[in-house]
Amino acid sequence: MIADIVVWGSLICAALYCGAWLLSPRLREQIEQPKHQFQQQVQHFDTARREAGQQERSQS
Amino acid sequence: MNQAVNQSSMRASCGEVDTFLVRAHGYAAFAMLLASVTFGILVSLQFIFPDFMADWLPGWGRMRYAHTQGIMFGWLGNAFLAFMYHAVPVLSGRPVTSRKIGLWLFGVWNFAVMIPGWTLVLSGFSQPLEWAEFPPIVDAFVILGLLLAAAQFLPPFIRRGITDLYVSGWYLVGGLVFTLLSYPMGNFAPEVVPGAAGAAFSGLWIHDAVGLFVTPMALAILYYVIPATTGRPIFSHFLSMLGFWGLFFLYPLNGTHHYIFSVIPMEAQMTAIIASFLLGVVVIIVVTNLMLSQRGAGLIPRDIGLRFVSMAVLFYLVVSIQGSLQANMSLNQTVHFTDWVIGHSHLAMLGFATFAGIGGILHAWQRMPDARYNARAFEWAYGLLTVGIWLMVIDLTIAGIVQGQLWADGSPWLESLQASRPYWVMRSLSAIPVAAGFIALFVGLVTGPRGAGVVQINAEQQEQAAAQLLPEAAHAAPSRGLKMSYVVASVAGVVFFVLSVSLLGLLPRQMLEEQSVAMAPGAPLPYTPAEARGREIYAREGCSYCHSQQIRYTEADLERFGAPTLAWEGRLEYPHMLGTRRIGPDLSRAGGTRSADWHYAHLFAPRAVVPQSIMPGYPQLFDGTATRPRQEARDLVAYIDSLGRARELAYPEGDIAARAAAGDDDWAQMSLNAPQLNAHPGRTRPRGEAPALAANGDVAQGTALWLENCAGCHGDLGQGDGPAATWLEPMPKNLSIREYSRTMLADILWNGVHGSAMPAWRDLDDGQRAALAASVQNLARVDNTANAAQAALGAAVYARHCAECHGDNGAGNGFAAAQLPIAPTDFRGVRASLDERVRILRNGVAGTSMAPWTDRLDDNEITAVAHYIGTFFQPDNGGARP
Repeated sequence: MIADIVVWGSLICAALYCGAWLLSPRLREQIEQPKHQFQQQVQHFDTARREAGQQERSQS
Repeated sequence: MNQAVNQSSMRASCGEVDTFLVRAHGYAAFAMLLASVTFGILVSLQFIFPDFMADWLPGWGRMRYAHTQGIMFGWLGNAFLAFMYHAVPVLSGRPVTSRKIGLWLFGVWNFAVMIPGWTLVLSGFSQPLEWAEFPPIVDAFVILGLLLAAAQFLPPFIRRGITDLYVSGWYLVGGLVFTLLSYPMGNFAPEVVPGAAGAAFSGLWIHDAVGLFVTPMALAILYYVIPATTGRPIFSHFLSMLGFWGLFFLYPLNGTHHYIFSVIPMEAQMTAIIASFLLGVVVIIVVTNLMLSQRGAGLIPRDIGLRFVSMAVLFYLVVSIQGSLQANMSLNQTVHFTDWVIGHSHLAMLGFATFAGIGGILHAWQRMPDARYNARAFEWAYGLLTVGIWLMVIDLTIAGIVQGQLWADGSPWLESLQASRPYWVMRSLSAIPVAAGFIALFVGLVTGPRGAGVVQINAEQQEQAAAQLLPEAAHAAPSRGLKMSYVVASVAGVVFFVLSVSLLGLLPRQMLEEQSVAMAPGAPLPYTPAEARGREIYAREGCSYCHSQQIRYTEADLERFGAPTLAWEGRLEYPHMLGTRRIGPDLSRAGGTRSADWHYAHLFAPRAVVPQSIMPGYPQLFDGTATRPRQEARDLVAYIDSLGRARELAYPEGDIAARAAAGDDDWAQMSLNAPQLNAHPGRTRPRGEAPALAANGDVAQGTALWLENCAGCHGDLGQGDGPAATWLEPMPKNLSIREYSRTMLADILWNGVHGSAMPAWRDLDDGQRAALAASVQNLARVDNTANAAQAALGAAVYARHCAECHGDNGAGNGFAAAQLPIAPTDFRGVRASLDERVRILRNGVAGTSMAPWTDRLDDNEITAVAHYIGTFFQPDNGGARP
């Protein structure tokens, strides 16, 4: 019985999540949004680090 | 406008990565990794050379404690903290809370947890629980450290808002929160919840330690480093979140799969098994997403950090599928307790988590403009570690299958040790590239030009990333529905955790208590003070790493060890010592199985008694010799001798009452109806029926068996002068001056010599026992020429003085025999040389009721009775038991 709850609970949660993703294009874009934002953050970070590295090398 | 502000905060955060703390935790991580690996190597070497540096090292079990806790907290804990100092400001766009908290966190983690933790476990203060070995006082500091980590890393995410947080941020937040929830449960609950019910909580923590601490942190690194290095976003954030919630829902429900076939209620076991399979599905989703996210990076990526991370993904796939399979009952039946599980844990901690941790540190290190960075050393490290870890894991996995098969088919325990030896050698050899790889990594971090890492950041890929435009819709704030779904999922995650503790911890506790009350004898049988002290020694030396104390509900265990362990048998066990590995046999029913002098000899010098044993010796518990045990040795033996006593005393009347209470509980009935309560093959029994032995035993095979099993006590030539001989009382017999009938040997090999150190050998099959008997008969060099006149004179002396114990016909069945702790010799089945008979009559036999007779018999009488005794011997069919 407990195992049934776990199986069905997990499957229903996953199905709801997948269903919402399939039915709402806007939701799809919003869910994917963080990965693009992260990409920009990382890129900014690396650019800053490269610049800092160049400064370090030019000073030394 | 918003984007401009965001970018501004991002740039600000870039300068606010606290490289000092990244560096501090990075160095600490590698220093502790090298120490932990050293402990591991020493532990593995003692499998092959059990006495390797034994006088100098703190003891096998203690080093094993230090090894596992060092890897989890010292290495991985510091590695994850180093990575978080790099990643959290980037992920949140905000700096971590404060340098001051950081310094406190560094201090607590390393100087209040790791150094004292190691010092304590190596000094003998520990908790005998897998992945919870540091004593409770250290646990308090671990929790303080986790609280400091939460205070340091959670506020930036909270200030930022988490609804559109990137998946790595989710994993970091989830890992910190859920580790804080699960750590106290796993480390303190078994101290207050006894036996199997406490083990249910331990099982949860064993899995939560990996599933809620190590895995989330490692996956945060994978999801971070892959897109950051390739310059392309991950394949699907949707799938990553599906995986994230799937893992946090299901991981906590897996814990009980560490105790399948135990007395923990089947409902809880089935829940864990099902959850384990579902988790396998979720992991496949996660790994698929991660692999697709690496598209274009090549099979072996050029960037070294990414290369480590890429291999971590592969490790994660294999270890997770392996984990799901292990929960399958038919496979679990074979591989549980074997090296398969050790291979699995090394794949998880040294493979998946370590490669992720290295990838994360290298990624951060590369981006520190003033850090040294030796790419060549890292390349070497990658190659060495990859080869070493795969070799180790494959080797241990095969070893586990071999061990499981040998245990399943009832082979003698020592056969599994002998069969394991080549695999253990290979495991130790595989540590060479592993250790060299870690050294190369450390070298890479402290050599090479400063700032060399930054130069190697792939600018081309970064430009690709810069060229990628953020989709228009992504600039919009998350919808109310999405925000709500994350809130609901967060609440559901906590609910699933509470569910796991309730269903797999509290509910089994309730059921086990009810079962105990229904089936246990009325009055519990507490440990005596000596036994309680002995239990502490057993715990501190890590004995439960090799000797489980749970007979599982499997046919193999039933046949080898006896009745499976019932719930009430552990009702006074705080904390439990069920164990998760068997290198030596289960000790649940060790009480009454061996004599005290055997235990002392075995503890003092294990290989003197069991030449093939790899058990560490404990000479420090003795005053120089096995015959002078200190209080600690006496306490330890008292504890071992108490194991299984409560069930033994309740048997059989107690089991009859319990059978009625068990009702339709099939597993309880399986235990209560077991053919033997204690099926230990070495357990001695009074003389009795024994299977007859074939006359044509193979002497060569017997000699080999002799050297493996008997020479430790009886000596190579059977002269009773083995290394352990002088520590035993009565001393092992000198078999070169004794003739034995085959029937007598059949009896001794089947039942042992009850009351002495001579065990039974029921784990040898009929052919092996026949071979051993033939080799024993072959040892005898006796001239037993009878003197009829002397024998006639001795008959009267015998009748007057000896028959009351040895019986009228020498069968050892005199009227006083039943009162003696060691049965009098049955002269029909054994005949010592005349000189030996005379010697025994003069000196007696120390450790038995046979006293010297010189004060009552003169020399002539002694010689006469010695002659008479020799006439009882019946070499062909003698020794038939009365």
